[in-house]
Amino acid sequence: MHSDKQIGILGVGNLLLADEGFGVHFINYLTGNFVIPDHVSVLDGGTAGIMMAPFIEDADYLYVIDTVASDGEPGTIRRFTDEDIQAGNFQARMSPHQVGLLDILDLCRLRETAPERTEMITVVPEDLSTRIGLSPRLEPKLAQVMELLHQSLATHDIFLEPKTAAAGA
Amino acid sequence: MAQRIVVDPVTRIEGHLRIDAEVDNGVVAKAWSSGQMWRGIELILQGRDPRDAWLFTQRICGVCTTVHALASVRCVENALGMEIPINAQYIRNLVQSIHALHDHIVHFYVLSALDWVDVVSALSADIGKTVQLAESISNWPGNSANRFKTVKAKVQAIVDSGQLGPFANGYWGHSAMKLPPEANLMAVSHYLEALDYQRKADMALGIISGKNPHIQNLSVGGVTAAINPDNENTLNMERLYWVRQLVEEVQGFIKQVYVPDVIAIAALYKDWLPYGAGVTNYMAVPDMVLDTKSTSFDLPGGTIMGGDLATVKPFTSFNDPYFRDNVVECIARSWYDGDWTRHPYEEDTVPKYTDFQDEGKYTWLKAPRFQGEPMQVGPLAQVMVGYAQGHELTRKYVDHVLSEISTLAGVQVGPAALHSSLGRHAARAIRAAMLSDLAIKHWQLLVDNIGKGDLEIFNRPTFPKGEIQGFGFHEAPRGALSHWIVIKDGVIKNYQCVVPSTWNAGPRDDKDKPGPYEASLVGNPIADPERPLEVLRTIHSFDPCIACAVHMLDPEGRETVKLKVL
Repeated sequence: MHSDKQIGILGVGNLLLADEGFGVHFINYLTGNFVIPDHVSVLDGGTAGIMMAPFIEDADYLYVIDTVASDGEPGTIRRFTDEDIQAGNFQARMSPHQVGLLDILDLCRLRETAPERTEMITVVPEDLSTRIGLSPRLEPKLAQVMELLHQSLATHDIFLEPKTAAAGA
Repeated sequence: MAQRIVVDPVTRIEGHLRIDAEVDNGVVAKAWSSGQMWRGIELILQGRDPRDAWLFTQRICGVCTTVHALASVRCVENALGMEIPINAQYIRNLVQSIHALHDHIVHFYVLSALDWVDVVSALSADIGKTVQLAESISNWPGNSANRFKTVKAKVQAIVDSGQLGPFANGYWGHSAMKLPPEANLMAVSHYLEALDYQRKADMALGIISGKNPHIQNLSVGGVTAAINPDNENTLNMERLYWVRQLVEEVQGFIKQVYVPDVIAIAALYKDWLPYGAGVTNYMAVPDMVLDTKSTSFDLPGGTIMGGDLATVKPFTSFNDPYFRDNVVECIARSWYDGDWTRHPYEEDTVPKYTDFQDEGKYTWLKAPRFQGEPMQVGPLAQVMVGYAQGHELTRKYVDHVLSEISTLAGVQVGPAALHSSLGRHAARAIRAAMLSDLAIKHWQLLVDNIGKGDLEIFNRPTFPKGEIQGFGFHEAPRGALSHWIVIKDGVIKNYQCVVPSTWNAGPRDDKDKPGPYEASLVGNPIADPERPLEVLRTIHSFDPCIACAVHMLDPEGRETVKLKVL
């Protein structure tokens, strides 16, 4: 069984800028399709910066879903861990939320309230124009990121049940 | 010989602001403020249902979500000439005041205190003397020898590790840093503590508004937070008492830590009191509404021209033509097609980028004007307008703060000293104290009204055929925010947001009058052009957040100031 650790899943991004809103769309996908257990908290952080601090401080294991403006084909999914963050592999040309997030993590570390572990699952965007909705290229990435998140959660013995199965049970 | 400094980006939070300053003999002679990114958020709203606009506008900016939601529903309600149930007004007032408490604490401690506080100097602080200093200005229980010892050890560990984290980009050891080590240690301790109280404010906001950071409980015509004192799924008494308790804890921090810290910093930096005034035309909009028709307020609004408090003229309602008919925006120096000056209802948004031209166009921000004049907005404007009108609560806190600064500084400091960079910080702390009182007052008004059996929260809007227009304003943490809407056959035809940071960070206009940021830098001393701490001090005192001013997010983020001395 899972431990009594608190899991936080945080989607960040700007909903008004097409693929930039991937993290927000992901949170909608997650809560629309899966039953969220008590010790798992989910937040659509938007672009809220410091307002996300309480959520981050409450998490023992934090998963962040975001877009990343790095080299690579649109739709490329990358994972970053604490080691990458500490090593500074995370600085260049990232999205504004992660950087705000890094500031918050720094501050939380100083306050000794940072999560034990942080993992970021990021997607390279295709379309950053001013409109709402994902590009056809990123739409299928919701399920793929979900799969990666499932794998990570499984290491904590957490298995999210699909909503339909729960309803039918 | 004149040198030119470019600070880019200026902010730690969202928005991409560039400041150019010409320095002559150690003093800023001329400055330019430039918004570096553009996205046409208005375009997303065209063709949509006006009742949904607030859901989108609160996504414009990550810092100011709540305020755009409020201004948005108000502009639609204004277009429809609606009244709002009194419970809904009180709930909105609670939302806005608690949001502001959160925002002001974060701005001072996390985003700007380190312009005045030297973290490294805290390492030489004497613990006993730090306790003595702290006790002389406040009876906050957190000011203990143990606490200061722990914080000092923590700072030592960070400095030893070479990983400075949030302190990485500070100007430590700069000659303009004047606080004694003990004051620095006390301030660093409060910096680390501030997040606990921000968190309490966030929790209170979450309980009332459903969800942070994006509130869920607004609606054109009222709020959707059903009130039932006895139902656990609604806004009931248990939740309301929880909110009150959290607000009282935050109020304790504001009155015993934030206000005394600002007083101490202003007194210890009294040499800085003459700097940073800039544009002394002030504008604030009235808020904390007390009636269903939105004609009576607990926070006064109005204008002051040329720093003369005798010129004060109030805005008296949410439909005051004195506001509606006098706001224009000018694009003569902005990267849009044309050089017009227009009323927000009449504006269009056609980008036309040129390079940065000192004498031409140099920013994505438009230049808002009131009766043709640039206006400074924000807590200082609000406090000045209230003070000039003899508003009792404003007078009480202004007089208290000025008298404490005078005592500590050993010189007489009057209201004129508030026209300054430090004055903006003092006014923000004053406003936080006022809003903590008002949050509790409006909590009581709400509870008393529910006690009478009134549970109304919503009036249904109906949209006529044909074209209507409306404006809605809100005195946000960064100042006067207004949304302007044109609705045709129940659908949005045009939408403009005239945001506080556009008023303050906007450029020159067609008559070459500089905006408040630009004017405030002129005359600032610059000890070391390679490390322009003084520029940041003055700009940060406005609480810059231009994500919404240019409707875009900062792609670079962290405050690695790219500094060019040309």
